[in-house]
Amino acid sequence: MFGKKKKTLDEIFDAEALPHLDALYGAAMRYTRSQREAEDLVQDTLLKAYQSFDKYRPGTNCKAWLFRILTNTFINRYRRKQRERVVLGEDDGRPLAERIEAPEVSEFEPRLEEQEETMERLFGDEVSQALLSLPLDFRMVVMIVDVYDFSYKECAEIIDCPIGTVMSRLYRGRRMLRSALVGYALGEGIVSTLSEDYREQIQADRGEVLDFDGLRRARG
Amino acid sequence: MTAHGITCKDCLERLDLYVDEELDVAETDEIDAHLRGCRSCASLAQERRQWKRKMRAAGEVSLSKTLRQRTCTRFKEVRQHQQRLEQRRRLGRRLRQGAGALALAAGVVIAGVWVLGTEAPSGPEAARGAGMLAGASAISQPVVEVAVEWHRKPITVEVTGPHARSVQSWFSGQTPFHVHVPDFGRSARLLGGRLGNVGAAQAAVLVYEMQGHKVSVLAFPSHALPGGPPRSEEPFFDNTGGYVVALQERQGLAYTFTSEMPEPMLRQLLSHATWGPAAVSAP
Repeated sequence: MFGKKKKTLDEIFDAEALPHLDALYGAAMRYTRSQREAEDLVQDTLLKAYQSFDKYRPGTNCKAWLFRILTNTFINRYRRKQRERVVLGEDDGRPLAERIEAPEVSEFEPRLEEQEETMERLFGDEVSQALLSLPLDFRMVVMIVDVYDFSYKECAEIIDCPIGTVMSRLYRGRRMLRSALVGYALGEGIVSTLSEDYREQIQADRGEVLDFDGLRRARG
Repeated sequence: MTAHGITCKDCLERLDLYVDEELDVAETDEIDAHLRGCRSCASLAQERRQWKRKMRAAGEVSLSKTLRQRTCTRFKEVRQHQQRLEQRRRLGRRLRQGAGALALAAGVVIAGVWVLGTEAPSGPEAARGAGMLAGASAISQPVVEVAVEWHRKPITVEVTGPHARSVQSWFSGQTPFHVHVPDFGRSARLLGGRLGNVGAAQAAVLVYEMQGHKVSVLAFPSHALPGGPPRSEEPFFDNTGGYVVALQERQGLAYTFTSEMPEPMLRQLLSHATWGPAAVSAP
């Protein structure tokens, strides 16, 4: 009798959670920037979700609940990896505490040759590349709100921070993206002529005077 | 510039919130009204919407069939594995909990025709069978301990091996359940069997020999296990006091296998077991 009940629970879980696999995987790829890491992250997420499925209230937003678990799992791992990768520098006579250093490349920022084909296939376009190049804090928020269409409140719950932080990171993250994608914006006709607002922002962000007309002609 | 109540500055300050649909109805109406009358702000709003659309389009990922299948299969396998581990943990707890508050079976007939070892027959039933420990409190003994106790004592058998089928036939009619006598082929020799008990439950006791090691087996109804029958037929192994005890459930009966041989050896032996059909005819 108990076995039957358990089977039903498995079925409910599969029906609720597995349809979000695409979204979870896409997010995991953008968090980790590595297919291997993303697969592991999604596996861990599914297992954790399954183990705490009794805490999930049916009818509530399952995707947001899964994203929260995914994000928490990623952040915990990312921090742990960072801690693990703190190494001792060469003994150059300085006190021990001063020689502890973290390498520049973290586990989650794989070198170019480690980027797998899937990454190229999935995120080969200009917009995706620009998103991937954002620092993690901004990348997460822009992705959660703009790519996966969560509300600010849901985003705040997913990354476990105040809603004000979501808003400021979103603002800055989007600004960085628009600066990086100015040529793309002109070429794609997102902006036919750059508004004063956009021009000013880009000049300020890049700290240089750009030849917008030249850019547009080049893309056009 | 102002249009319809709010200034462009007011509008631009809330434009992201507007596009993200984070404003309440009244504020949304205000911005809507402003945008209808202000081309410059309307074009910025349009630009923001386009960005969002581009982001969403760029973000759409659909897993290849292979990757989806791999992910689902891997997850389901790990989930199944964890469920099995949890079952075993539960079973392990129950085995150590004791055989429950079962009344003792009194008067198990000892009609030994084969003596293993040198001591006089004194299985656990000897003390219990005398009714000395007839109270429920006396039997809250872990099944693992009962199995080891049986194993340590010299066992007098009532039916001799080595043929599993004939030993199985002997049990038929002696026990209220059908015993499946496992046959290990050349790996281990069946020396014999007898009646015994685990708590109040009647049990079939079997003794095997494998490369000089004694293996004793208790078979009893699995509902006598504390917490009822286990949900898995996979053996559970426990090590206690230099003995390894395996517990396996099969068709309503719990079987304990006890030996002093190393656990991997016992595991291997169990993997070679063939279980004959239950004997139904009386001997």
